Amino acid sequence: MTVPVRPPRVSRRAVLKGGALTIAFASSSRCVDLFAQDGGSSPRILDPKEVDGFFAVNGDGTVTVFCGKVDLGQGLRIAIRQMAAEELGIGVEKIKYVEGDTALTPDQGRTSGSSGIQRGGVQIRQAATTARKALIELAAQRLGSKPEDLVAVDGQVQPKAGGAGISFATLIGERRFDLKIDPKAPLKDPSTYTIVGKPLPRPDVPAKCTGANIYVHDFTVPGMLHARVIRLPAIGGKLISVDESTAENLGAKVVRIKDFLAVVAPDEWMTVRAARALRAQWSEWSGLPEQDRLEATLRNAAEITDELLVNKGAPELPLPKGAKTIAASYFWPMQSHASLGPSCAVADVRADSATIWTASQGTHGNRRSFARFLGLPPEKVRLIYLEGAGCYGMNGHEDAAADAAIVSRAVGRPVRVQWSRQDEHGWDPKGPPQLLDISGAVADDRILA
Amino acid sequence: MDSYTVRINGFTRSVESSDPDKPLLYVLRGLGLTAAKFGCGLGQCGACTVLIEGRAARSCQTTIADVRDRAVTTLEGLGSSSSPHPVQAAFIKEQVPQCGYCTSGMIMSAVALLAQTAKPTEDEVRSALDGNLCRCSTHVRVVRAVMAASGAGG
Repeated sequence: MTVPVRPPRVSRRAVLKGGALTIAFASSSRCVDLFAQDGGSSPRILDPKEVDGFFAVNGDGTVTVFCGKVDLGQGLRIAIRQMAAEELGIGVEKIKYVEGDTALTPDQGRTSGSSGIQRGGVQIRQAATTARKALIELAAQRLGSKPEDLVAVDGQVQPKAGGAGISFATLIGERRFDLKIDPKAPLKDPSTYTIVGKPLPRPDVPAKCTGANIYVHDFTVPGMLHARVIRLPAIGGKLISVDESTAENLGAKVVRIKDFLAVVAPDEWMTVRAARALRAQWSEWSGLPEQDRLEATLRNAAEITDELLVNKGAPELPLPKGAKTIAASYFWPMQSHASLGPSCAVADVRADSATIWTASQGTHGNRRSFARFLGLPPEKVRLIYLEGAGCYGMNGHEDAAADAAIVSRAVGRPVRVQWSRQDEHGWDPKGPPQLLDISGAVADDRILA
Repeated sequence: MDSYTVRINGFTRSVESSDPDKPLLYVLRGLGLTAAKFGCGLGQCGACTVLIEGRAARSCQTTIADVRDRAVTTLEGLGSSSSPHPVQAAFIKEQVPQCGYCTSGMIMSAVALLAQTAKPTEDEVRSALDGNLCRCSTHVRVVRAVMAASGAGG
């Protein structure tokens, strides 16, 4: 019996359409169509001060939102759609969505510190209200009406008094706004909201419950090799020697660049076996403080700076008789952010360009880092966000992307690096340790200091 | 290179492997069945859970030799977005996943539970799924979805 199981994805095809590069990543049965909604035939505007940076009105009546913030599982994909749809005056189902692609979305800064909605969403909302104002003005000219007599509803501008309207697609479909975002463009009154504030289902959930969602861990490109990086036993260690035959006997190639050591093979399991088997000798290093002396080490460390957060009352005065002083110290050790899936990335580094698929919280910022790192101009480096295994603080996705880029450049092929559980626990960027001393004085139920 | 006949999602497949200890997880993902996820490689997180002859198993701890001539079911084999399995439908209705990396394993463990115990108590659900970790803390919604799938949800 022949079997309709998905073949190893993903084939890549590049289609030149109307002067714009549209690239789709497709397999026979499932598809990551990252760039299908590229907003028509114009090259992308990436300026976050321009309406065109965030919106493209498509000829079919849909609107594509280009969001520089990324959905790490927190629901931005529906929340941003709701904010955009509400402010534009169009149904949320008509909003298409592209996120975290340095070639397609404006730089809105890293997705961290709960800034997705309060900064990213607010930026897009202001772009949307500017766009709505422009659409109403365009319609007013066509209809011979006053803008204040028109309203944008369900993707068209229509007279408030009733009567025929003009669709967004007719007004500006496949064309640019060529308009700066107006920070003073008035926002809708929240009491009139019909979309924001409703708990709408998240669009990624069905695919996540049926195995169709393509995480960065699941993404492949033709000709891609798998790699594992062999970590040194301690951060200051140096690679003394490596017996490459121990990996080569298992069908893997060894990549050694100074103290960076990796194994590469066409099959992922081969790299796991080769990484385990590889015999390498590292120099010893023991410069880190002992874990159980971390707090004492921090208190004595010259390079640690004290920061006075609050100083109220009169702490310098002699305390009155009967005053009670209270002091407490709180200490957080270093902690792993420990995503359920260890970090992973795919990189395709060529002589003159690089494409990196990553679960990075900051594709735009990392484009500059990767350009420096690879010695390429930033405009030749493209980072494309694909969802990872959650994010609870900076995990190792960006480091895995660097691993993949190093190995891809060394072997001249696209490379996927999947960290092991040990890699993630041992080498992910940790939450830094923190030490907090608090003291105060009270007397007669009054806070003195 | 040995050949292994495995029934995957209802279809008989022939899988080549030079290593009889190659974990089923890598076999499945190599075939493009990527719903089962690598989390720990130690059988401790549940992200790689699949069904073998209807029973939940960690595919990272199961070798290709272990599943010779046996029936393996992955999340893809249960249903699709347009035609989901009742447990998938309940997870979608309850909007269970956040990042969703654990979801495949959660659903497979739940399906195995409901096959054994059609009307589990909430405690039985919690016990059956306690080997499936979720770092986004969706556990309460997971339990709610499994109870709903059993017909007991409110």
